Amino acid sequence: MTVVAFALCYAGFALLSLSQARNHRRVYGGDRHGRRRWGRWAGWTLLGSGALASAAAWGPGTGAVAFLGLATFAAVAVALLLTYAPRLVMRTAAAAVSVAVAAAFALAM
Amino acid sequence: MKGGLRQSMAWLHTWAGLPVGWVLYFVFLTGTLGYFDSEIDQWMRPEASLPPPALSQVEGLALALARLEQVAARAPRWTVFPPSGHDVPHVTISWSTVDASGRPLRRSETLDATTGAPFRTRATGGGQTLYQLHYTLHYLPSATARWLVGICSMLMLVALVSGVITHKKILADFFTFRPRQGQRSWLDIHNLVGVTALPFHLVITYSGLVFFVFTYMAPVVDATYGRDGRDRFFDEAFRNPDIPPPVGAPAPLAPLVSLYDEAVRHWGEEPVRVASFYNPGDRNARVVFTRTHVDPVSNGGRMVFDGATGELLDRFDRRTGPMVVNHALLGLHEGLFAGPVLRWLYFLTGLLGTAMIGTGLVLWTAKRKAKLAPAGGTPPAAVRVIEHLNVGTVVGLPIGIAAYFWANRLLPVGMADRAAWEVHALFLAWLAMLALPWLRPPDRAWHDSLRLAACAYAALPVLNALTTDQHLGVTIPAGAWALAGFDLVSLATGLGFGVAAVVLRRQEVAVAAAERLPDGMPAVSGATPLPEDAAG
Repeated sequence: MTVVAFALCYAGFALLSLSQARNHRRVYGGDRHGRRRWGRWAGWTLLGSGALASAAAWGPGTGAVAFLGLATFAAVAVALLLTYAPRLVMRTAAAAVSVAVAAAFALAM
Repeated sequence: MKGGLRQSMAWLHTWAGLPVGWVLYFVFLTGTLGYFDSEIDQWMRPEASLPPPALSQVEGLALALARLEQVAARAPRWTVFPPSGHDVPHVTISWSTVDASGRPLRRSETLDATTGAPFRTRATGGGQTLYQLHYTLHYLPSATARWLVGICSMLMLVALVSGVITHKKILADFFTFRPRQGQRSWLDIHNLVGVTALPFHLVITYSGLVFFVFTYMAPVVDATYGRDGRDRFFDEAFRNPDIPPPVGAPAPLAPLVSLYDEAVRHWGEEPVRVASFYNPGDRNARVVFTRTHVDPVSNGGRMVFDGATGELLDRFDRRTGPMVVNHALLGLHEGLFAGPVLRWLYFLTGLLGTAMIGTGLVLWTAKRKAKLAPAGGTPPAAVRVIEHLNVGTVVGLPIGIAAYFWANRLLPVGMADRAAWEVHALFLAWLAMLALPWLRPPDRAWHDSLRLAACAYAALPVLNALTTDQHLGVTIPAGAWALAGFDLVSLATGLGFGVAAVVLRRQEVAVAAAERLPDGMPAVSGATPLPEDAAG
């Protein structure tokens, strides 16, 4: 469940970072406003799902602490990737979502 | 102080942070190590560090009582920590007694589950002394240390809040890191580790103040309870159990199993963190169970039994609102409820906090030196002093902590005051590292310190292999991850300092090359410079 929560936080922050004008320009060249707005919604939704996954895994109190900790390192990871391999941000985010879904299914089985 | 709110907050951020930065760095780093105090304890007591045999809490309590009846039959109070997961791997007991000159003294033992006798380990401060440094400051009287740490924490809070206000683009720059741009890169790291872990920084700093709130805010208590009423206040606030004096009539303790079952019924499995026995062996004996930490607000629950009859006299886990808040903050700070994943998160986030303070200190001198650089002037004495303190602390303190571990392995086992000398080694090594920049130019001092730190940590597993039989070749196959983890983290730390030394060297070579080029062409082209200016 840790993996699910972290992957969701990571994907959430990745989309949020790409929804920012400057980062969007750097990665995609242009500025497509609609796409950025979509990314912002999706980013917050994923981040929220990360919080729910943490709460499901640890309970509300401990889950809140775990969510903040995981989110911290998800954000740091996104920042480093944006610096050193900006093109990978979207791809790793997609991979993270797949991992989260697969792991959630595996746990539900 | 001039200009708008942001400028005045920048001023406040700088001058609240700088004077206490080194103390805060010490507090954050030693406090962070406390999240692995138990693992450090195990590593520093190689004689007792084999994975403990699985012992239930009831068995642990029985083992403890057998030992206490043997060695402390006449003590007025026994305290037992039965095994409870991470923090208490072995049964630990303590009792009060008097020394040869009649002064009160507390004795404690860690019991070997296979023999029931105490481990015969080397005298060491272990992980406990190391993490306690962050509020005892070791050489200072406890009241002075509390106030000093309190003032520093208060200024830390001021620096955190003013830092957030003065940060121009806290959201736009949330993910920003621009490497190889000198002062701007330092600022980016400072902002990144500060902002991403802001909830941790705020909660840890604020809850740190709450620990000693009754010291800092004593007049508030005195106003209601009077100066002599402080004990009464604590009894009421914490609902301390009412312990009657012994009557002098002997009575055996009620069977502990039934008391324990009662605790399991209310609190679930492994419910007892501490079991206290007041007036043991007397008809007025009282047994008090304190609950284990299972989540941030579960600590503080308590059960009081009549020790002779086994009757449950009082139980509370629902506390008043303010006490829930108090316990939640302390629980969040200590993180005792944390399982392995959460514990690592606590540890790593603590390192981010340490990094935030360290980069803040470095940034202060980098800014002032950058201003002076075009003029080619030498920095004023104050800037030089602060730069020296920075080298000596940011890298010097980790070296001091390495010295603590080295001393644990190298000091003779029979040495008098051995545990005290381990701590002296920490502070002496730190002092030596503080002296180094006065003997070497600051740039050289950074290099020397980083290299020394790299060696000191990378060689720890080797030292461990030479002095004990619990090296990585044994601990990894045995799956003893507490011990193996210590060695592996030491290796990683050494590697980290080594990489830092190499990066610093490369940058200096690049800067020197750039200075030789005409028109100040940048020799290293980093990421495309962004049009926006740096914050702060």
